Amino acid sequence: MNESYDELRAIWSSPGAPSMDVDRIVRDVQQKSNELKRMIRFRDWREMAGGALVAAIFLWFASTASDSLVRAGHLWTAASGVWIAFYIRRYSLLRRDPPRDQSSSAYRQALLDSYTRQIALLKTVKYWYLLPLWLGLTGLALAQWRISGDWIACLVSIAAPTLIFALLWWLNESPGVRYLQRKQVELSSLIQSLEEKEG
Amino acid sequence: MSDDSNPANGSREETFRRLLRDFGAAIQRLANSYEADPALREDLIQEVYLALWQSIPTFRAESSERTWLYRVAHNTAISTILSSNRRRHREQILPAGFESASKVESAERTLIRDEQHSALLHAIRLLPLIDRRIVTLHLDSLSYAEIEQVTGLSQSAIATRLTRARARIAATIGTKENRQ
Repeated sequence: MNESYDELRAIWSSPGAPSMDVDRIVRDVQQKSNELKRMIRFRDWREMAGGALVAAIFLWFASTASDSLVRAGHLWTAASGVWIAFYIRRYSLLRRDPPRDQSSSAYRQALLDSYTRQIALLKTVKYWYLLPLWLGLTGLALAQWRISGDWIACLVSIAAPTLIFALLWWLNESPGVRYLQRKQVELSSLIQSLEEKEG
Repeated sequence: MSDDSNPANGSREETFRRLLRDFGAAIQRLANSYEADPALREDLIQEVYLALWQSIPTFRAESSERTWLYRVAHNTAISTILSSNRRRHREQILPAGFESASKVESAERTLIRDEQHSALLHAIRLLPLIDRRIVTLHLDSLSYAEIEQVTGLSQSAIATRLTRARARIAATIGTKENRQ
């Protein structure tokens, strides 16, 4: 066999056009696409609903509170719930698969960059997730202490969320980030080995 | 632009049908070069169809329709292979490739053209992914400029890799013919 590309091209194209049931393919693709859309919509709805639920509960608490500081604490926590839902929603838009109509080099880089964005999200979890909620809950505890004067209850109300939030902070910033960094390195070396290693 | 249409090319469904008609064979060849296993190949083809369907509304005519299609198809293949490689080692693909070639070797009644095609496919599958992509694009008659748009590699790098790949293909096919 003469292996010039012209010769190879003739061999490459020799099987000709395959027989395809175009109607079936279109039907299948539309069905899969709709299923994916429904799945994404459900996930988005779930995230929004979580934030809305937290906001609704604390808004109700705020509406029934007699003390203005307690009301402010509840309102702050309700606003934090809305903020977190908004932030997660915004992030979920960034998290989606990179567009596939870019060059292969750009696409590979975009796959790796998606890990970088997830790592940045975990590293900043203390600011966008933990801090707003902690401030709201701590404010509420202090407002309750001002009313009741029960400093033990106040201390417990501050210490319990602080410990839980500290644990969440550590889980996100230490094992969480390390896990994603490992996955990113794995993906990078897998891409490298697949692209350059002979089959 | 609405979610379901592309002004340049009519409705999404019309565009998709036209792409299948014009590039159906090229998509099958592309999938052939990535996957030797028929079931995995069929899965890959379905993934490419779905990716094309989802990408049609975002086509901006900044590149030709052909380079756009090859970008989507090759990136989908990369994504699919990366996903499957996280589940299994790539070595498992190779025996299937050899099996496919050896079946042809043992079938005396197989037409020479089919045998040559299988041998070529076998040789292409032995190339590194990046060379495989360039060679299949070149065999589908894309110009160096178009291959550059699809892969992001410079035209000189493409030329170097094509020359090297041709030598490897020749060596693989030569070895195979000598064995027969």
